[in-house]
Amino acid sequence: MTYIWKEWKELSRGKGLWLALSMAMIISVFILWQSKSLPSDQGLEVYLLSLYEMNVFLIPLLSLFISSFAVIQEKEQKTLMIILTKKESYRSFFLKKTMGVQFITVLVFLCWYFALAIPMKFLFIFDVSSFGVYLLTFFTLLFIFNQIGLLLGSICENRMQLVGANIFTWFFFIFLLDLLFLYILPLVNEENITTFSVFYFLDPLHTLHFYLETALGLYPLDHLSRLMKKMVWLQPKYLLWITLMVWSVLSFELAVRLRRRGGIS
Amino acid sequence: MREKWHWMAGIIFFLLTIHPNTFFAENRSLQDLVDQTPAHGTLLLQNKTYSGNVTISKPIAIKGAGKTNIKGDGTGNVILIQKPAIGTRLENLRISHSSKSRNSVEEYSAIKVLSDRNVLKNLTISDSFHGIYFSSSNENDLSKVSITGMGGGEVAGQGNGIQLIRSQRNRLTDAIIRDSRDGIYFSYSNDNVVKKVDISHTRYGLHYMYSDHNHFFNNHFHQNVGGAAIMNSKGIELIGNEFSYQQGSRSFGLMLQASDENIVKDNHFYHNQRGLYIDLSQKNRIISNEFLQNRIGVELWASSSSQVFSLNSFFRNTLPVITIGGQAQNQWSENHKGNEWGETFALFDLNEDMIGDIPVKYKSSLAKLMEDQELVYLFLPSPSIHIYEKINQFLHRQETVFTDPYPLMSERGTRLPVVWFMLIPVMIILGIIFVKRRRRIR
Repeated sequence: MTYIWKEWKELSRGKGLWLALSMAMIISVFILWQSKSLPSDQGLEVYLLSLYEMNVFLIPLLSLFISSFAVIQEKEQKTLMIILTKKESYRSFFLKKTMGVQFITVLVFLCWYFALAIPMKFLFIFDVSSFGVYLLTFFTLLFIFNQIGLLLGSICENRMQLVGANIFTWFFFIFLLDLLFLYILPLVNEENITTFSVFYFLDPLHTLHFYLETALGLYPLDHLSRLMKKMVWLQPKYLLWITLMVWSVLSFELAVRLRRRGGIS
Repeated sequence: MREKWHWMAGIIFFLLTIHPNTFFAENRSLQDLVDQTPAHGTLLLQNKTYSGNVTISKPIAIKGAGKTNIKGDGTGNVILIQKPAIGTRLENLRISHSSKSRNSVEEYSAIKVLSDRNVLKNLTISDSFHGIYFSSSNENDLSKVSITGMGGGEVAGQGNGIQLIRSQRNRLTDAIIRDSRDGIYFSYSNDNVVKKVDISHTRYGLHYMYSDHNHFFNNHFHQNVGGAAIMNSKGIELIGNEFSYQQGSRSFGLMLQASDENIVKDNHFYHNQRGLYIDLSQKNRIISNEFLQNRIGVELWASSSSQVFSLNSFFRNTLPVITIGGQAQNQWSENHKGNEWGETFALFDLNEDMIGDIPVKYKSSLAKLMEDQELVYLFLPSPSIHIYEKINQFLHRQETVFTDPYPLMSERGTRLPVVWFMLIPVMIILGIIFVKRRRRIR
């Protein structure tokens, strides 16, 4: 609880969190305004999908910066050194830091989305389960990229390094990875489709988009072609949990094992 | 005694003169009641469940009271209207539980119609293989019908909502069909009119084989694997329909396959994997349609040629048009009117005639990839698609998809949305508060 309170004070005093929130707010309102002109039936589902597709560009970048800077700040202000000299292991510190950052960011965005639900209720036929599915997808995205940000904050030595690492990671997930997949695609056939599928769904952006589309009922999983049946070898909800677990655990373990002290000898 | 007889004769005379052909249902089997109703008479059913199955062999009207159920025994058609029963009326009924056997010679349905000029109105159909099956049955009028199929499971195990086999000049209006194999299945059925029908959660909303000169007005096909699959047919009019949310990997709003000389006009294609898919088809006229937020607006295979595209609007589709298998001869304007391409192309209109000053030429490198690999469709939402296109543009690996010589100027998208004007004062106020707070801290 102390860590959560400390994290709240640090993040709320900085501008990063509020900047991220205000950008998410502007995008939500902008897309909501545009969605008014779309056909009314299933408007909520299409709005939520459009909102997610827009957030995919923004949230990874913002959460990478917020969470990674939360860690590097501890190094730069030497608070990490003070904490570690008090018989606290880095693993224990990092776990508490992770919980603090995740809790605060999730809470802030949750408050905004509950506020956003009010105009949604007036503009669309409001379906709680669709909204719940969106929240699950959004917060999984936020959680995974927060975790990757914490990893980057842990392994980078200074702010300049960290800025470069954050931008590269964002660019890698948003553009490079899919570009790589597109060039590999001609080599995919029925024999190696499962291997391709594993790598495809390990990309959180693919899994989350696929889960959201299927859970909102916008992408039916019946009547799939033979190739697609082999591609989707597990239900999207399980793919989501696996991706979440893999990225969270992997990022946490790598952060603890590969940590750099950032000027602390 | 004589007085009593006078009274009874009077009552009988009164009943016969007031409504000579109306019979009220009693506690007898439905088949008995139907058999006892004279030709052109009316059988009024009560608000209760009657056991089917029932065969109608003469023209009668069966009217329910609003909550009248007819439940089949699960061994055949629940209601069979035979050939001589021309002009039968079924109204205000709930019909359920036909046979779903796939081992029988016949495919069963809630209502099977073999005769002509029948009226089917205010019917709710469920728990049946096919909903309504018109077999060599002409000039029927169907309206206000709701059909719920079995949903889920394998395709072969489900029937169609409405099936027309060798049936001509029928009129289907105001129907809701969901969870069946295909919404409406046409085979060798010509000159029918389908109007204001809502079809969702089926394989193909409309499945269509060897049927010519049918008309589809203001129907809504949504959340199906395919909205409407028109195959091996010609002279069809599709006007004012909406095709939306068909989003599977093989999904489409409307497919024209081996179908020629059709008119596709004033339709809305919204949020489909492919809005319009054309294969092996010639001389179709695609006029004044709106393609909005589809992954692919129009997918055109090289086997199709001589289509006319004019006055269509393409907005916010990932790819507005893609041609697969090479170029074919299609016309992208008519009478000096091309299509509206939204924000996809920047246009100049110096002479202000609302037509772009230079032709629009669209090139893409994705066609070859799509031809070979179905999984490309999974990457259409990705921003990398645009980088992939740019790289291939740089490497000269793109092929021309279409050239619109008279592109229409777009009015949409050029205006700044009102929301931005609303956000500006909010941002100014927040800025002032922020600056004031900083000054106070100093």
